Amino acid sequence: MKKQVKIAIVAGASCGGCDVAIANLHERLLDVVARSDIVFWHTIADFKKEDLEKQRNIDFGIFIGSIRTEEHLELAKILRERCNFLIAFGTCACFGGMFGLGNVAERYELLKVGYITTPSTENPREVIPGNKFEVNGVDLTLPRLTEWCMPLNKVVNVDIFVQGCPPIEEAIDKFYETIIAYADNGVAPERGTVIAGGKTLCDICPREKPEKITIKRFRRVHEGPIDPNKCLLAQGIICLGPITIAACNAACIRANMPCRGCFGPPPDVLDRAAKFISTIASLVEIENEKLLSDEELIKIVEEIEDPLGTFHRFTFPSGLINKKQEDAEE
Amino acid sequence: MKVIKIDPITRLEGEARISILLDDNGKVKDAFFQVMEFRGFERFCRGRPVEEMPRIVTRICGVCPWAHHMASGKTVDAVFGREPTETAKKIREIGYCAHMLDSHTVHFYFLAVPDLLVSPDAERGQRNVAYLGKIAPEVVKEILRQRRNITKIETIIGGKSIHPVCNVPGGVSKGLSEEEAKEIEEYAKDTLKFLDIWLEKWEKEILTKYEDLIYSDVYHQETYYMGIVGDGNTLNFYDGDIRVVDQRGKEVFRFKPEDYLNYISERVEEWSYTKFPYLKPIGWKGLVDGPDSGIYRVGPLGRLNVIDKISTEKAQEAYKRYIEAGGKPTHFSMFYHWARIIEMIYSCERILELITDEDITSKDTVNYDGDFVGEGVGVVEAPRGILYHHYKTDEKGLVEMANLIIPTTQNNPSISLEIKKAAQKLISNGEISEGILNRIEMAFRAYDPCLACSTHSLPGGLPLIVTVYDSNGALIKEIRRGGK
Repeated sequence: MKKQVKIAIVAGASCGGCDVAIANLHERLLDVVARSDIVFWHTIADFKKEDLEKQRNIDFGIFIGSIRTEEHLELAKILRERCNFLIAFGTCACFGGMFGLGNVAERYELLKVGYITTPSTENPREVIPGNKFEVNGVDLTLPRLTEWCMPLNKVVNVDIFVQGCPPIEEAIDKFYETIIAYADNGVAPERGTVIAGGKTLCDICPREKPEKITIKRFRRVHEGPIDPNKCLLAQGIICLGPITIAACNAACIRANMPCRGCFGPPPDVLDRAAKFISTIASLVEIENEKLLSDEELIKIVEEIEDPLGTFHRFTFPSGLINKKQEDAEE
Repeated sequence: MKVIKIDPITRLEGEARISILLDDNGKVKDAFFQVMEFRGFERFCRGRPVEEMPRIVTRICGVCPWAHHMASGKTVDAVFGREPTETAKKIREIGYCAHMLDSHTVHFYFLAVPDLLVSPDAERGQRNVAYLGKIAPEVVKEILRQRRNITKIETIIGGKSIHPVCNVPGGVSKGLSEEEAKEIEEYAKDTLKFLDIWLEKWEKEILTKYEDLIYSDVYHQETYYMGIVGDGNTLNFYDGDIRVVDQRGKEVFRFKPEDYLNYISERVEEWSYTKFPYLKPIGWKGLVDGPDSGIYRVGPLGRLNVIDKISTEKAQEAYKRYIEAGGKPTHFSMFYHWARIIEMIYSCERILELITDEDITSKDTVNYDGDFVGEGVGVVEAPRGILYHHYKTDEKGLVEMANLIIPTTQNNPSISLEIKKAAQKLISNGEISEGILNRIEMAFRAYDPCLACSTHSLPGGLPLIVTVYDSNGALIKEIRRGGK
C-alpha cells in the first residue's frame, strides 16, 4: 500500500555542501517531497530540539555532518530514538569528515587558536566564546564543543550510509529510490547498506596503469608537471584511489589532480590510514626491494609529508587511532 | 525586562539565532545575533602541506567553496613565489565568474525573488520558489535550466562544482579544450540573455512595486565599505587593490592584500562563535554606524560602492541607473539584490571576454618557476564579500599559521546592527506581528548569510519562533509561524 513517508533531516557540523547537492536535484527532490511528510528539517527551518522530541515513528532519519557540539550529540540521540532507519548522509556523518582533523588538538586549543592567537584578532581579555552567558535570567549560552569530533556511528547505530563529499546525483537518486520503494511497496532497506557501490576508485580510473607500480620516490603536486594519462601513484604522487570508494566518477583524477579520499573507503576497511600504509609499502621500490636496506626503504617512505592529513584527511575520527594521543606528535 | 528570542537556526556558515531584548516599556534595548558553530580550521590546517590548502579550505563552506579555493590558490602562489601563467589566470577567473553566477542565482531566484514577487506580507508557505513554481512553472523551469548550465561551467574548470580542485601553485591543473571553450561560451551567452529579462523586470516592475520598502530607512545603514578594485577602480572579483570608502563615498584607505593587518582587527564576544571585524585605524565603538564606528560592509553593495565603473558594456549601463536611483555610495540594504543582478551580468560578459581570448586553450597552465617565500596573503571577492587567507609555513612548506577572514564574519557587526534597528523601528510596546517578523528576517537575509538562501527554496519555508520572556526569564508568550 502506498503511504506518505515520514522524514526528518538533522544537521551536525557541516559545510552545507550536502544541502546544496540536494538542492541541485531540484525537480526530483520535489517528487520525493510530494511523497513524504517532512517533520523536521534542521537546516531550512527553525525546528527546535523539542519539536524533534515530540515526533514518533519517523521512517527515515537523515543526519548530515559530524558531531562537533553537544547540541549535535543530543540531536543525533533524539533522532535515533524516534526513527526506524537512520541515514548517515555524506562523508562527515559517515566518517567524521574534514573537521575531524580537529582531533589533532584538544578543544580548548582549537578555540585558543581561533579566538586568541590568530594575527588579526584583538582579544586582550582572552575571551573565548561558549562560556555561560545570561541576560536577565535568559540563557544565551552557546552550545559547547564536544571533546572530540565524531562520526554519527560513534554515538548511535546507523542503518544506511550515503558516502560522498558531497554525494553525487546518482547516489542521492539511489537513496530516493530506496525511500520510494518503501513508500510504494513497503520494501525495507537492508540495515548496514552502503549507497556508493563496492569498487575502489582504481577499478574505474581512466588512467593507464602499469602492470606493476613501482614508486622510486614520492613527489608533491607542485613539484612538476603531472602526466594526465598515467596512474598518479606510478608518477610518485600520493593518490588515495586504492582505498577510496568508486562513487565520485573519478572527478578529481579527470581534472588531473590526485584523489584525497573525500568519498571515504570501501565498507570493509577497518582503518583507512593503516590500509593505505600497507598498500604504499608494497609499492615502494618493489623491484629493488631485496637490494635496498631497510633504512633506504624507510627514507623513501619518510618523504611523504603529513601522512595523517593526507591518508586520513576525511576519516580521522573513524580510524583506530582517532584523536590526539598523550605525548604523541602529529 | 522582556527578551524576545527569534530562533531561526538557518545555515549561516553554521547555525544562528537572534534574541531581542526589550526594556520595561516594551521598547527594543538590545539585540543578539548569535552564530552557534565552530570547527577549528585555523588550528587543524597547521602541519598540512601548503599546496594542499586549496583542497582543504573548500570545506569551510559548501555554498561558496570556489571563493576559498581561489583565495587559497592565490595564497599558495605567493607562498611559492610563483606568478600563474596568463592562461591559468584567465581560466581561474572564468571559473570564478561562473561561481559568482551560481551563488547569486541561488540567492536571487530562490530567496529575493519569492520575497519580492509574491509579497513580503504574504503567508510563509507562499514565499518560496516552490510556490512560484505553481504560479509560474515556466519561469522556475528556466531558472533551474540556467543553474544547471552554470554548474557545468564550474565542473569543466574545477573538476567538481562543489569543492573544486583545479588550483595548484602557479596555475591550474588542466587546460581547456576547444570544445570545452565553445561549450562555456554558449552557456554564458544564453545566461546573459536570460539576465537581460530579469534586469528589466527589476527596474520596471519590482522597483516600482516595492519603492517604499526598498527606500525605507529601516533598511538603511551608513557604514564604511570595503572591496577589491581592478585597474581604474573597476569591478574585479579576482584581483586588485583593496579600497575602503566612507559614508560619503570618499576613499579613506587603499592597500595591498599583504598589508591587511594594518587595517582590520577582529573583536571576540563570548556570546557568538563569529568574530566582529572592524577597521583598525577607526576603532571599535560598539554596534553603531556612522564615521566614528569602524564597522564596514562587504559584498555586492560594498563592491558597487567602492568601484567607479564596470569594464563591460551592459553591466556598466545598468550600474549607471543603479547609482542614479540609490546614490553613491548607496546605503539601502535592499540594493544588495539589485547589485547582484548587475554583478551577474558582468560575470557573463567577463566570461565571454575571457573565453574568446586567443590563448585560452593554451596548454601552458602552470608556472613551476619561482623562489619559495614561505608566507602569503591571498584575497578575492567572494559572492558575499572580500575574503582573506594568510598562511605561513616552515621551510618544507608545511603550514605553521593560517588566518582566515570570512565575508559573513565581516558583515556580522552590520547584520547585528541591522537587526537591532529593524526591531527598534518595528516593535513597540512589546507588540510583534507576523509581517514585522518577516521584515526583521529580510533585514539579515539581504546579506545572503550563506545557506539561508539555497535552503529557502524548499517547500515548508523558514518558520520563526519568537519567545517572549518576562524579566525573571519565565516564558510568557510563544509565537510560531509556518512549519509543523
